[in-house]
Amino acid sequence: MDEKIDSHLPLSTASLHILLALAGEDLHGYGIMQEIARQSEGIYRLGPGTLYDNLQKLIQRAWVQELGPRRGDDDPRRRYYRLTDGGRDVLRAETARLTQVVREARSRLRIPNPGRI
Amino acid sequence: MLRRLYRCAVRLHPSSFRRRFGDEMQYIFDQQRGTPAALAVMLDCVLSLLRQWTLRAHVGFDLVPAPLRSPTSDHIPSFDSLDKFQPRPSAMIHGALLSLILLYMTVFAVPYSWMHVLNLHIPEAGNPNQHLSRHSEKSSAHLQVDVIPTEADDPHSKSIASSSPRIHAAVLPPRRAAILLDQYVGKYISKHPPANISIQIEDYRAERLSLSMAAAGHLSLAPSPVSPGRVFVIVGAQNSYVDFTADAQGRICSLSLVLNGKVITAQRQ
Repeated sequence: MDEKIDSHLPLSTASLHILLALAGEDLHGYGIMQEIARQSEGIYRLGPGTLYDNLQKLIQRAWVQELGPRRGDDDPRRRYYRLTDGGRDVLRAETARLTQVVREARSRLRIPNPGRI
Repeated sequence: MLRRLYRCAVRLHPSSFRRRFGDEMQYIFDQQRGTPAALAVMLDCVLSLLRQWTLRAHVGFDLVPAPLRSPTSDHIPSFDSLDKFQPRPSAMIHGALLSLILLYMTVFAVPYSWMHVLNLHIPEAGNPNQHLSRHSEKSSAHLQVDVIPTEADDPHSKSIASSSPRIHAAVLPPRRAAILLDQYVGKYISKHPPANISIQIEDYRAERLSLSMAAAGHLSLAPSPVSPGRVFVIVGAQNSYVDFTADAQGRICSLSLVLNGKVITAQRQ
């Protein structure tokens, strides 16, 4: 794993969910909030303050790119965001780390692998 | 109403954050349906506000690391700590506003402190003993600071008090407070209406005097928070107080007792 990426891990819950929401497509802020709520089945909901606080951090680290408003959009206040290649690498690294955690937890708790059921 | 509050909260964010995300935050607030959802977003905005000013205060500045200077002749590297860091005007305004609010709150809270540590009197210039007169409180020349320390025999306190003649009792041990109260002690006689008033010290530490008069019995007097050196309020009585007057030498020469709407002026014996 890249040491530079490794130094940023583990990601905060909000950052992880934002990167995950943007992994599929470019979204505006409200769309990110809705996507996170959908992915977590309504368990984890971000407020706009938390969302933009984390987005600011992610943009600074060049993991997310701001695209600005889209032509023909319903509301000109909406700006779209895109996951950068660097952000995708970080998300992959975090996913690998979490996979390792899950594997270890399954082993310790003797939970059968879902693939073998 | 809530929308206006939310807009205010968004505007209180650092300018770089507000310019970049303020409109979108407002848009998301507008998408909320129902008061509970709007309140949740409002709460989140307030938390974001705290986070931005405390944890992310550096964001928005182009921080340039201080350049490492080459070693000097003594081979000790020197660092330039005054880099090109310049706070934004909005941050300066916010800081000034917060400072003013804190200053106002502190000044407002001082008279309500349970322990009057600092008791400032501003006597007239050229006659430091006139600090109790009505006129002297309007003019300012120098400060008299009465501080009640915890240690009665602090040698440092004595040295300060003796070495600074313009500061009366700069740091006073407890018995020094009694000396200040001593100047009020004595007999005061009124002719119209006839009355004999006696002033005694009731409690040194609490700066309490006691007033004895045949018609009123014993009354406890506490320094007025407004004019502690001159006016003493009667404890447990409303709109009743004793106003002491000093002569040209600063000696207490008379008092005016206002009790139950009646005024008795008595001269000191």
